[in-house]
Amino acid sequence: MLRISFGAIIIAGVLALGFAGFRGAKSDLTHVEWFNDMAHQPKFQPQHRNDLFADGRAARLPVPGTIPIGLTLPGRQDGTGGSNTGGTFTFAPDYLNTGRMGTVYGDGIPAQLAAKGHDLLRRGRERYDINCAHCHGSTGAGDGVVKAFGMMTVASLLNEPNVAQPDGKIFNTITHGRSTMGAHGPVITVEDRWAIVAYVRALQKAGSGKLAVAPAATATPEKK
Amino acid sequence: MPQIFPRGANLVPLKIVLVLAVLGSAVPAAMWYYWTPKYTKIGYQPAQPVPFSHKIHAGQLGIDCRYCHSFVDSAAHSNIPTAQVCMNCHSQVQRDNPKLEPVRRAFATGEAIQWVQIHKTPDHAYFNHAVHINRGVSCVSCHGRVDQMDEVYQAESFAMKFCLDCHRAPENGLRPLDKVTDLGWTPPTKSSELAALLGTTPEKLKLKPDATLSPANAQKIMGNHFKDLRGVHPPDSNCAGCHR
Repeated sequence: MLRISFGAIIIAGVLALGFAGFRGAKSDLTHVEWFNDMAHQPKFQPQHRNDLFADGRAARLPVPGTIPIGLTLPGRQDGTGGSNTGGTFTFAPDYLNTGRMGTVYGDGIPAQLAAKGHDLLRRGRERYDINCAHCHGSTGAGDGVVKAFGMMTVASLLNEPNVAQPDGKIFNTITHGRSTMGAHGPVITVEDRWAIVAYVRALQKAGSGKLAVAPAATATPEKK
Repeated sequence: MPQIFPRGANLVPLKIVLVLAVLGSAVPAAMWYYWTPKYTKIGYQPAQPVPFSHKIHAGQLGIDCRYCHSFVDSAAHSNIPTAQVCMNCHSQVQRDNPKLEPVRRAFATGEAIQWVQIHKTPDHAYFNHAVHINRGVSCVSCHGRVDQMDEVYQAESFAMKFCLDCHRAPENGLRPLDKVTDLGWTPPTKSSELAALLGTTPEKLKLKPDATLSPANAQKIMGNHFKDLRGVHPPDSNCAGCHR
């Protein structure tokens, strides 16, 4: 009897191990929830499913003719009387949001952002390295890593025509894309796009081959 | 009157106790091993509609996490990128690859690609990505070396203890803000280099100038520096800090 009992226990153990495997083993199975610990609430989380709507999205696009809070109406200032610059996306047709002054591209960093000085450039470097460097290269020479994988039409930002472009046009290119470059407006805020423009200008100066325009690098440890 | 029970029956109670003892150890042992998120959650690797390789994109190409997860540092939710972001490159690269068909279809029609969520917290636990990223907690702390995963799987248990381990000792997870998405980065172990990184001197860190630290110790010193600098006080006993 004893032998049979222990045999059964060992066989059950081997079966369990064979069936359930070890911790950390890869599996596409979700676990069985014996007690769900109230982990599921009847609410919709960002980018989740909702079968109530035909497209299955819980997040809804704005109803035609309406404007989400935080965005402004084309051609008009928003309710606070000023153009919305709170790190959001807006359609206000001013220089800050379009890079255009009237019908032509303007030049210069919008005053409210230019006042940030070096902080804007630092932000620009960070955002450039995130969003631009894999195509345009970390120096702007158009030699980013993806070129070897078939992105054949990446422009160098240091070319004379690109250096000669007004700031507003570069802003517009980031926002809406140009030829084979996709629109990056949906994923980079207005302020960050201008920061990138400022940093591209710095890259162009640094890439001009004139040592005098490039100040020596200084380490800037994080401060309070 | 003959004996009812054979002589061997004397040992039966002992045998029963023995079997129950073994069973009573084996069952809890199995539960201890299996009935935990360390087993039920780690290694979860569902098939995705597009076999997107983070190993190629984040590892080999070195594309920053935030190019695709563009709002992870400004929103609670780390967004899955739009098809537009994929098509920024894949309008040219691998444009005929059949694996990318769902992406091209989504881009053309606006239909959503139905990615399968891997990392879940309970609906009553409110994790905010931006808060962690902006205080210098790296993606790798919770998601593991995603830049080495062909197909993403869950690398950590996401049990409440997993959160609390870090909330009670945040110095083990803090790093320079520009290294947050650099998943393989570790702090320098030479005391002079570590001090330079923190903008101070080995003496002020109470270290010898030529000392070599263990990686864990270097992390602790760096983490404590950033903890004070950034005022990091994560909720470690206040339930409502995370549960609402």
